Amino acid sequence: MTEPAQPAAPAKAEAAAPAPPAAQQQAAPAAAPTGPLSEAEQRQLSTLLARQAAVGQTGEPVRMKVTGGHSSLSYGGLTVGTEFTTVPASMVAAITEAAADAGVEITQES
Amino acid sequence: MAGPPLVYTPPNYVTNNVLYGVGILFTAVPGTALPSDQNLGVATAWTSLGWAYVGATEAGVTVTFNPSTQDINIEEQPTPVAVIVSTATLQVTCSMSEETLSNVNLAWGNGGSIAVTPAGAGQPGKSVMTLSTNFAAMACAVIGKNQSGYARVLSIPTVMSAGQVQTAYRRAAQQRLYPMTLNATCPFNQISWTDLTAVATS
Repeated sequence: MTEPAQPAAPAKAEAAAPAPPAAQQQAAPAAAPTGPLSEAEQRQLSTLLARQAAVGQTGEPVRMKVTGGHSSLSYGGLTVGTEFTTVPASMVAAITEAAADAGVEITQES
Repeated sequence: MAGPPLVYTPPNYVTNNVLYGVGILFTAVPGTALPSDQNLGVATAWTSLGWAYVGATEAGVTVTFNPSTQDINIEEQPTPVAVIVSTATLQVTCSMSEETLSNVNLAWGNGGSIAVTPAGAGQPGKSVMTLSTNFAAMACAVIGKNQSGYARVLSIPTVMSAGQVQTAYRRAAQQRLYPMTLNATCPFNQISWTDLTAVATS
């Protein structure tokens, strides 16, 4: 019966003692503002949602480059040259397929 | 005895709010960051982040928002008790005047790939666009000037190019045009207008 109450005692002690800086930082989110988002917050949220939608559930981006006789391959607004270029994960399969269709050799950084 | 006079005082309109001028259309890979607020009106800030300018158009850029609604009716009332949005489309259209492979690809669904072969011994430099019906999504932004003279940006994180494209090859009647229709495919709450209203205080 008394065991569940034991963890509460140290917590009370901590509450009484001056909070270390880390604890103060952790407590900060609790005081987050409420109410409607500001314009800046809305913009930041839109950017984050767009980024999340772009990445999707496909994971991390990879780096790819064109090899062989070609100097670049463009697909979907993205251009992969002879130097490694970061390709969003959501586009890796499509650009690999596009390269195969176009007869372009493309290499993924391992 | 007559009462107080009847006064007719219409509200003032603001001629400065009547805007005109071309819109600038940029496209990019979905997820490409927008320039900082300070640089929303700076073309090089967009291109340096990977945004591509579609270039000259025949008749500017047109933005069309077209919701379809469903009336909720009751027998007891002739007017609907509610009007619900059943579908809504947002399209950005323009007829591109600059015939580049990139623009042709944009108009034709953005599904093609362009392979570049550099010039070499016995090999002319060339670019080959291979078509595909696997249309690729992209982001787009339309930038115009607001009543303060600053940038006003419509940002659509995901669009797909899908529309009829008809290009006439004429001797002198007109340039070759590539009409493009970009259809928003993202949730509406991801689409935003950003309006710069004042310079930073420091």
